[in-house]
Amino acid sequence: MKTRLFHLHALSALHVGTGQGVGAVDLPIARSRATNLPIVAGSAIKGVLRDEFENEKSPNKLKTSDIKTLFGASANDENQNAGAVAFGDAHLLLLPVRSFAGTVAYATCPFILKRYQRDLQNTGDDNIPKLPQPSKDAQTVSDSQILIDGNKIALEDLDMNAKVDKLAEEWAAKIAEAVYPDNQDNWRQELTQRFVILPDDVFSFLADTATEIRTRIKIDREKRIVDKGMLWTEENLPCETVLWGVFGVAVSRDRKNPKTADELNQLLPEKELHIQLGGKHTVGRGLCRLLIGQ
Amino acid sequence: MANQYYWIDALAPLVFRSGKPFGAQSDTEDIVFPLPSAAAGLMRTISAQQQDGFTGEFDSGSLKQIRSNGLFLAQKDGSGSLKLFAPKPADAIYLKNKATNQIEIIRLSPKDMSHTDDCGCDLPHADLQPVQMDGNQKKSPSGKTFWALDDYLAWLNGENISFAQVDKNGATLPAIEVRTHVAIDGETGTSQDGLLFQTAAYDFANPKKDHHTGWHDTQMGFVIASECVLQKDNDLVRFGGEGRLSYLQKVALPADTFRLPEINSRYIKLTLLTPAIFAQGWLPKWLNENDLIGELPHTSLKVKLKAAAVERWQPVSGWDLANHRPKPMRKAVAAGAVYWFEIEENQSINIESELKKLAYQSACDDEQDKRDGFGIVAVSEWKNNF
Repeated sequence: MKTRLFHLHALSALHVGTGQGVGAVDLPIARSRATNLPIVAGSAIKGVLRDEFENEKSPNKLKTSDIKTLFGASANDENQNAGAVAFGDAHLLLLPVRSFAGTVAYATCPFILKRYQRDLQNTGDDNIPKLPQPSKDAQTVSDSQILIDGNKIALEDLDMNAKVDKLAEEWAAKIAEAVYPDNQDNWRQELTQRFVILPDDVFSFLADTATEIRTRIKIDREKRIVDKGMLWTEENLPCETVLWGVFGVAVSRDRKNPKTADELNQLLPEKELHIQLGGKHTVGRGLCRLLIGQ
Repeated sequence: MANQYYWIDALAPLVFRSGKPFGAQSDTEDIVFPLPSAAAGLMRTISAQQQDGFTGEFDSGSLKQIRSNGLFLAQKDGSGSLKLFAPKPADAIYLKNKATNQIEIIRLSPKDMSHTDDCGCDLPHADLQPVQMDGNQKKSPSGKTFWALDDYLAWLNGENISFAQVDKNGATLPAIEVRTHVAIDGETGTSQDGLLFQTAAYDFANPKKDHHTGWHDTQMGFVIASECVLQKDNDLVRFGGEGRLSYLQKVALPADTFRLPEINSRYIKLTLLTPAIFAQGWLPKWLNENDLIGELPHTSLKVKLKAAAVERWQPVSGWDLANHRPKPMRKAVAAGAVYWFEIEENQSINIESELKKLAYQSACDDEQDKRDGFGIVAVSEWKNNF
């Protein structure tokens, strides 16, 4: 199966929920059962992409027969076939965290970079930085905007020692290149100057506690006060979050449209798509750039 | 042909449905440890894909000849080394000792009751001996359902191992993740009526540590033993339901991973590493149902069945990818079952070299079940008789 990487860049708060909540937040985001890190289910990305390729007004519109081959037959279709493309879950790569200096830091950690490195290797990328050594200090780039006095950072209510690290610079450049392939308006620099590799324990704490919680209410139209019981909280991944995932393209399983994996792969070009993912789209959630890699 | 070993590195939680019909309400019970045939099917599909693109014009007959020898729960640590697990043998039970209040592993062994006049049992055959244990224990809380392969082999070799050791080295199945899916109506932008469903899946990713202290450096996965030699040692594959992705990577295991313990007597045990399907329910067809005597598969050794410890049967079904229909449901003997045998006297055969031919091979009756990896057995000496 042809392995390709995609990156998902949130342009607004992103709410891919579980439909239920048992904790303090009424509508939490989906998280991995094992790692507790936020995820966007591959099925959500697949569904939205299918919709995008079916949309008559979309510049990305594909032929109906190719959509059936790529994404599988509808449940009521007479001729059933499995889809040729399979989407993995999108995993958190960069979490924007409130920073005392530089406004926001784009944080990641060695645990995440190790899994990201594995996926890069499996796409045949031969220009992958080494993993940073475990450290109790945060690791930043040399021209970092988030450093205070050159050796400290303060994220949310945590302050900690930080040091400039060459591998952090290499990873920042690698991720910035993937998220901004065109480097339009120096967005790469905006990202790299706020990039930080945090220790795993600090990152796991922030990934749990530094997501965005919005409280919403519903107003009674006549009384202009809050409807009884109509106050709830929603968890979101903050705007500017970056996730990554893997998808695979196999040969056609559609006997009426036989195509090789390479031919089908060409239908999913290497480009940037603007999509809406997850719930609450009428209040602006889930506007994303989907960057499909090679 | 020698086994090749492949590590399944799951990229998302993997779905392995139980035998419940589609459309029934799914829940966290609706998931089972995958059948060995799932692994055999995966190897055949990937083999065909790598050779000719799996165009649908493949020769299903020759693909079905590809033999796999089981699917094992495994764990990979930060350095990349693998640890394999085997299902708890049915002749080991966890019980709490009333005197010491400690949990012990009690070994079940057949007991000859032919000399007693005042008691009996209603086993399916008069020659079968019941398996028994010493008293003075009471039922304990459950323990690890999968044992580290080294502990497992030590147990098979007659060594007594502690509950603490098994608990420390063993494993349970990974955490189950339940996802709720909806289908969105393209026109109204709302979820479609009746198209809400749940999937339960094992999440194999590195588990988080308590109190926000990062993640464990071990992750769970599977190791497939197969005679299939793939063209690509590392591939992206769909394993289980919902088209969830995994990496399939060829790995090397130490040569003595699956070893045959020393056998110095005519008494042996076969312990199932994978579920087995036999023509006569719990009883293999290669044993005559009248006298319980037969020839061990892959060998010329004539044996007599003396006892068996068999737990609840397991349903075996699945989806027939070639014919696009569900497979009929069959009953399998669950993995972990133990069969005790006495090798018949006056056979001029080297017992150990014969048993090597059977060790870690299938003891099923049907040739296709054998190729699918059902009924893989570990062979050991029956030492601890009363």
